[in-house]
Amino acid sequence: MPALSFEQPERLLLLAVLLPVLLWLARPQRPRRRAATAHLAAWEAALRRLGRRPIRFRALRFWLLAVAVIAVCGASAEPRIGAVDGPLRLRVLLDASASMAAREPDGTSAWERAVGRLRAVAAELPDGVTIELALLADGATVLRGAPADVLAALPPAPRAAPLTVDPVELAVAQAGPDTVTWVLTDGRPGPSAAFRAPFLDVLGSTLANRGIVRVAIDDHWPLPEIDLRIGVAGIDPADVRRALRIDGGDAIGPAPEPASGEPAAAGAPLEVSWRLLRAAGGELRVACAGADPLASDDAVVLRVPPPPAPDVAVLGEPGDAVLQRAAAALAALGGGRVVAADDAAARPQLLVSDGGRLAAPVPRQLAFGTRFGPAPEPGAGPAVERMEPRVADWSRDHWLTAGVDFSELLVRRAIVPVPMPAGAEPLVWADDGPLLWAVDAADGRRAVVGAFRLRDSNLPLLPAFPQLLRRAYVWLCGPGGAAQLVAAGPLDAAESDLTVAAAPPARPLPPFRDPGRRLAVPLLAVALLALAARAWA
Amino acid sequence: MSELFDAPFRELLRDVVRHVRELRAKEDEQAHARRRLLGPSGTFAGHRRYVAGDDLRRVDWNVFARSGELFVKQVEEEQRRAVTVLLDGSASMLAGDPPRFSGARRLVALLGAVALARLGGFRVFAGARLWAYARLGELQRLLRDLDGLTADATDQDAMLERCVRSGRLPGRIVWVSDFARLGEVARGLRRLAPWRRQLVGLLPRTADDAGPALEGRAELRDPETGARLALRIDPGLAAALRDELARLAARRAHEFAERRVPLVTLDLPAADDARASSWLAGGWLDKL
Repeated sequence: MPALSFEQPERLLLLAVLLPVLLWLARPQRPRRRAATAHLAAWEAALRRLGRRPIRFRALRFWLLAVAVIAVCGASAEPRIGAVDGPLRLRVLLDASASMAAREPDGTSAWERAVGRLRAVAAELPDGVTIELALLADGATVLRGAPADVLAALPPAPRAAPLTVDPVELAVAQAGPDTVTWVLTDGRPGPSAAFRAPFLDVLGSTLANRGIVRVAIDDHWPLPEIDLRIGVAGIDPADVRRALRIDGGDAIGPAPEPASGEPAAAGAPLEVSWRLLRAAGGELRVACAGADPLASDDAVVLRVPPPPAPDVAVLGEPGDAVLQRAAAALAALGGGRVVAADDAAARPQLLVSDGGRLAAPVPRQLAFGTRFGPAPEPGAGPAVERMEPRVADWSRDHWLTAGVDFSELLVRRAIVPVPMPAGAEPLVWADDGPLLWAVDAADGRRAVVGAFRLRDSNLPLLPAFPQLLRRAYVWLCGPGGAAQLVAAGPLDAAESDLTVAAAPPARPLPPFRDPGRRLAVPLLAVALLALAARAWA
Repeated sequence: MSELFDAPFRELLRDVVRHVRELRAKEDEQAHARRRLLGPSGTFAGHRRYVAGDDLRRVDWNVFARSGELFVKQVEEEQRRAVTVLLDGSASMLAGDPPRFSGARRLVALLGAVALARLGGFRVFAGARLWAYARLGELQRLLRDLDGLTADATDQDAMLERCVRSGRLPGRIVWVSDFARLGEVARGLRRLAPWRRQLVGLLPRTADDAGPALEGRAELRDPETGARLALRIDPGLAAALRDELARLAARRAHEFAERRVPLVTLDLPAADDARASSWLAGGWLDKL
């Protein structure tokens, strides 16, 4: 039988005053005289003839009035029936990680079941109970408001992101005497700490899933090489070539076969790597072939920036084969072409010079034996030259020269390229001064300046020369871009691993505070009925 | 000295007795003539069972020898002079101010005084009691008996039934009651129908029979049933009650007329009124 409770029970004390007063008022007035008669029947007949009633205590009228007063007093005490004491707020921590979208064999997902469960619970919540819904994935998104509004704001699908928020910490942090924290999760990743939540529904089951769980990109931009390493889970190492598809379109050249290694441990992701060559740039998609329960970890998309492809202008003596080969090598690194320095139609982005004079280093210049500054006055003496400077040392710290061997460098004749612009840093020293500088001006202009002409040295013959050209190209182009993942990254291995058996017993929600059904209006109706009946009685 | 039969009323009784004796002296001459015809003891009219107080000289010993039971010889003169009073002792007689029962007992005392002064027998049935008086000297006992009598809610039907079963109803039978319940009246008249020639109804009327003397809130109580009625008396209700009482009186008179039993009414004087003109008004004694 539902319990009866009062919000203002002290008002019932009015009855202790009102009922005796009513009883006193309902008593007939004392007669002025009393007399005995043998003709009481005649008196009663006379009253009946006149349609009158004798003066007497009318129990029915009194009790009807008493019922009306009791009902009104009861209504003023705000009675409720079926009221239940309990928490007033329901805080739902809904696992919105990617694994919640995994399709079960019956075609439903844990997300759909969680939302359905949430809707069912919300529909049965008593009036006055509020819902706060936190969608947990790689962050927490909190929805507050009326249950209908909160449910309407639910996204149709979980986020394609792993669960990085600990629901238990949130549950403990947000626990309160009037708050119930309810965790809805698929139980992944792993035997989660969420299972310690006081009120829990685990909606996932054990599934086999393949997924990309890790992506590592090493983009050598502006060089064309891109090293791509992908961690995959749920794939047999022998089946990697068939199970993985790479679709680069024009972004890369023909994709080579991937190289795969053994997983570090049983159940650990398998690492698959490619050495890709940048083509025109664009989007690159790596996907697991075939369908599995969880689609969100089956593919990753990378955006590959286009190569810089600078046109290389050559400033030097015509027919200088070494210079031309150097320029061609530079152009080949970035996919550009070699143009003449005096070609008005060309807009070279890189200048290779050998000898000659320039007012100052131009941006992206690789200069050998080029003099800077104004031309000497007529009649001025010959320029100062350094004869057979001997390499003394080179910088081991600068990116351009670190690890490059200049010990075999022989220079027959060198110049003194003064004045050097601000920001010039010597890279290679001879016993009489620097032989090679890196100019990194404050305005962003970069140049590599050598104090000798290529033909006055054996540098083109050294292994250090192609290394220097390649590094100079990268350094001169500067940081321009790198391949990046499009949108969300891959899930982590634990999120993609659906094989985890997670079936702790569900811990259902406690009863919420139900204010019950108000009885004030029915009681007032009873009072009106009693008064109407009393008027008729 | 009782309050009911106080000194003025006893004086009234003495006056009545004296007056009856004077009348009896005149009647004695006629009685001598009749005795010459009927014998010194009167005409034998039959036997009746002996009751306490009967003169032993009238016991018929021959009948006692045959039946073993005591019977007394009745003569015509005795039957004519005997008076039997059936006094309603129900609680309804307590109604009125003064109570009807007090006036009724005074009337019975007057009747007894007259009957005993005429040398007739006098019997009183009151509830379960039966008193018999044969001599004027027993008048004081009659007064004591009446004074000690209470209206104890005795069922009047039962009293009449006992009276009829006794089979001893000589002379005049006077039924003193308020005759308020017509059902009881009709049943009583049916039971007493064999003696209807001897029967007379005597209604001592009080203000209760005339209509309300009250106004305003009042509580009326039926002493017999204990029922109470609280009401507000106003002229309209008083008029309606008078109509009802008139209708009741008419129906009561009709009941008596239908049985050919005379009904004598007497407006009871006030309690402190001991005048002969008040208590003998209308010559009701002569009608009996």
